[in-house]
Amino acid sequence: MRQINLLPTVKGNAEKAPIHSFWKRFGILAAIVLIASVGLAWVLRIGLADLEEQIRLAEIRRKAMEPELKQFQDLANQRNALRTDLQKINEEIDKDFSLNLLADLNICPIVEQITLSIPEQVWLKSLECKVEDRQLLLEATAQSEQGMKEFVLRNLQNQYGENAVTLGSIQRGGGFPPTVQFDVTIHLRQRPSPSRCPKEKESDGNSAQPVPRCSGETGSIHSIPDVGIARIFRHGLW
Amino acid sequence: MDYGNVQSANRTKTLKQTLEEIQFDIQAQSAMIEQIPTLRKEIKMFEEEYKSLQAVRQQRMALLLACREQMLLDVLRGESPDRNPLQEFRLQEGASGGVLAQYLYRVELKGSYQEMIALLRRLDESPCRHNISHWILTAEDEDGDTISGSLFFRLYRESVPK
Repeated sequence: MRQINLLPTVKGNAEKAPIHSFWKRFGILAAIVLIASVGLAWVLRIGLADLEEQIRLAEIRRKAMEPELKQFQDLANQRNALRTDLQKINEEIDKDFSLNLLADLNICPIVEQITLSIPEQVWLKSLECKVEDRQLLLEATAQSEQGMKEFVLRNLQNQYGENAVTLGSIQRGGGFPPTVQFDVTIHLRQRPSPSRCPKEKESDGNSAQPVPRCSGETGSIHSIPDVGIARIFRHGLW
Repeated sequence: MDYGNVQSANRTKTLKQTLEEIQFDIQAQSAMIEQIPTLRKEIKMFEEEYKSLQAVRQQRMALLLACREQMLLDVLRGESPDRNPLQEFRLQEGASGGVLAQYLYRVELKGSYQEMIALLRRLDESPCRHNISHWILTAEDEDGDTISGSLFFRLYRESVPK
C-alpha cells in the first residue's frame, strides 16, 4: 500500500493566511467612528465651554444693568404716582372748584350787551341768567313777528353765534297793536381753563362776543357806557 | 463615549436656551433703560402740571372763599341804606361735603333802575361776583320804573377735616 503525505512538504517559511477584506473595512470604519466620536466630543466640549463663558458674561451684563433697571422701576413708579395725583387733583378741581362755580359772568356786561342789541320795536320783560349752566333766558315782546325775527336772527345770532341762540315759544297777542311774545335761550361760551390759558387776551375773531379772560374777569364794568343800560329804561323796555 | 456626546449635546441645547433667555432679558431691560430719559421728561412735565393745577386749585379756592356772608351783605347794602333795592337776604340751604361747605343764599331786590344798576355794579366790582349762581331781573311795570330781581349766591367755607 502506497503512503501519501498530506502535510506540507516544504518546511520553513509557511505562507501567511490572507486577511479577509471584511475585517479590513471593519477596522477602517471603526477607526473613523472612533476618531469622529473623539472629535465630536472635543468640539462639543469646546462649544460647551464657549457657551458657558457666554452665559457667564451675559449674566454679568444683566447684573450690571440691575441698578439702572431699579432706577427705571423707581422712575416708572414715580411717574405712575404723579399721574394718579394729577387725575385726583383734576377730579377735585372739576368737582369742587369747577369753572361753573366761578362762572364769572358779571351781570352788568350781560345786561349791557342784551340792551344794546334790542331794537326799538322790542320790549324786554325779563332777563334770567343761569350762571352755572351758562345760559341766558330772555323773555320779550315785539311789535311784529318781523321785529322779533330781526332781533333774534340778526342781532342776537350775530352777537352770540348762530348755534348759541335758540328761539323758544312764540305767542301772538290779539290786542292792538298786535304783539308777539317770545322767549330766547342763549348759551354763553365756556371760558377756557386757566391752567391752559395763555396770558394774552384770547379771541376767536368774533369781536361781538365777550372776550373770556384768564385773570377771572369777564369784562371791566368801567368800560360799559351808561347809555346801554339806561337805554332800556329810557325806551321803556323794562 | 456616544452617551457622553449625547449628554453634551443636550447640555449645549439647554445652555443655548438659557443664553437666549438671558439675552432676551438683556434686550428687554435695555429697552426699559433707554426709556429713562423719556420717563424723566414725563415726570418733570407731570410735576409742572401738578404744580400749575395746585396753583389753579389754590386760586379758585381763594376766589370762592373770598366772599363771606358779611361782605356780601355790605356789598348789597351799599353806602346809602335808604335808597337800596335790597328787600330780603336769606340763607336758603347749606350743605357740607368735599373740601368746601356750600351755602346757598337768596337775595330779593326791588327798586328803580338807578338803584338796581348801582347795586349790580357794586356786586360786579366785589369778589362776590364769582359766587353768583343764578339771577333774574324782571320789569315790574311797562314804564320800566320798577325792576325786581332775585339773585342766588353760593358761598363757601372750608370744611373742617373729620
